[in-house]
Amino acid sequence: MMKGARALVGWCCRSELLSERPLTILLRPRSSETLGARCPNTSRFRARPASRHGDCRYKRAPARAVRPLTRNRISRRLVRLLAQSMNILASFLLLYTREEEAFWLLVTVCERMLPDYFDRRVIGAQVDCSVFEELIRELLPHLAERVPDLTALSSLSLSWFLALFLSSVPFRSGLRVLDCFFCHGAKIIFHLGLAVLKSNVEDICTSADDGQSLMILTRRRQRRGGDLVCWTSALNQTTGLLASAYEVRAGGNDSDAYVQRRICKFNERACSAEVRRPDGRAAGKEEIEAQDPGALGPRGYGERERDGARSCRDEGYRHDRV
Amino acid sequence: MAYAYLFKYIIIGDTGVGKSCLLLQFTDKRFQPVHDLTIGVEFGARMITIDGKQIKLQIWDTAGQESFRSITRSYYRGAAGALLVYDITRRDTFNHLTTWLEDARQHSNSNMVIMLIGNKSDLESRREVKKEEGEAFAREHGLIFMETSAKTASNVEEAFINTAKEIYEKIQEGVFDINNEANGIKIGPQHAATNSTLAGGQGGQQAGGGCC
Repeated sequence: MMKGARALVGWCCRSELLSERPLTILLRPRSSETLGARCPNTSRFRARPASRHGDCRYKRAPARAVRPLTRNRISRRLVRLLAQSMNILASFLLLYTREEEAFWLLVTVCERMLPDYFDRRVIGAQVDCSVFEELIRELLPHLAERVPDLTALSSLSLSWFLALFLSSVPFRSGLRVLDCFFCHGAKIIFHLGLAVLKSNVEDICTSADDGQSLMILTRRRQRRGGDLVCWTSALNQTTGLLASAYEVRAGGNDSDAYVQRRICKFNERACSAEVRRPDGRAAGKEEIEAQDPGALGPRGYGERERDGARSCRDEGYRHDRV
Repeated sequence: MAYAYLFKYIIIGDTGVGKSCLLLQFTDKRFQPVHDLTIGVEFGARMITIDGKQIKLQIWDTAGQESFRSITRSYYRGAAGALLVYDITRRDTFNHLTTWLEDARQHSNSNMVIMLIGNKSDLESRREVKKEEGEAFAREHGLIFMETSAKTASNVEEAFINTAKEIYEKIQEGVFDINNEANGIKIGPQHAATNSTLAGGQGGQQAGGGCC
């Protein structure tokens, strides 16, 4: 661990990250509070307002997602790295992995999967946005024809890429996106981005200005915190999008078909497991829509996903721990 | 919805000064004490009425962090108004105003209306920057100044609307070339019908030079 940490610190010195604002982003529990807002059932994420300024400052760290990181010096160094959107990814990882595993996953993401994404100038993400624009022109020519200036779309894709969609989709769907990301690498975020655009292509083409098309693409997030129906439908949408993201892949092979099947399966199971009847049996779709929103939460994700996780385990990503 | 004009705004300023909260208060009339860090750029829109005309404000809320500076720059062009925000409880955000202003002046069109906003005016007990200092800065650089609070909603509407009024006056005076979309002003459908000089202007704003 120490050796690896030293390597990591060396890497951050090179990428000039150590001079970033120290110990701030994750320690200021915004990120986890955000998660808390998204999964109302998890008390482990809830922040308590500090008594001194009861207004907008949250002094007390909201438990598990933050505390392990403050415990030792290596973690402090790790936390310094958490610039920009990395805090979102880090909080997701810390929910399902131990501190050290989260550390190595972050190293993997920063160094191998998304190089130059989280450095001072987010160059990697900017480059990928340009690549994404090219992909739009190539694969969605209809859209590119109607919207010749893709600047607005690429500004949106920047936040998709930097936060791996975690800030734009509901919590649970975000986990699914992460699974796919660790299984298939960075290309899946391109696929998902294209799938999102593809499913909205009609609306975007008929919108009056680029502002309106951005509204269309972000409306899912704006509905966040609404009723259960919109939660499950957003979940359905995202898993559906993931499935079609795999369809976008040219020349998909057997393993892709397998993943696609699993995603569809997950879709069904997630819906029925999301809300349980009083007797413990899984609820039907109609009942889900009738139940109250408090029934949602990521608890139980581990058990349900155990066999799914097995297929990912070779990749070193373990998400079966709650 | 039909509008006479569309103005494009950009909100700039250091990280954590309350840019996103100002936007949220203006568009949704609510306050969220804990807000996600903005990644890249976010977006909001609202209709206002000035002089009996419907005006649509299209507001781009940028990320304040240093790493997004290069991305923010590409949004200056094509903006008719800018809200330059600092936090009255943090002196450093006030000290950085000159850098922001230089950036804005350099990358925007020269007629862009800039409004200086001292946010978080509800936190009077923790104030580090006096109102007079803000006023002096604004006078020196020819900006409009206002202190707002996104939490209590005080002056938030006024800040956006006064900026729009200023832009509207400039249009009336003929300072802005309204047929050039790079100025951040677009004539709405109800106006365009009577204005034959405007060729069917569909398609996005010709703003910014790509993301890198």
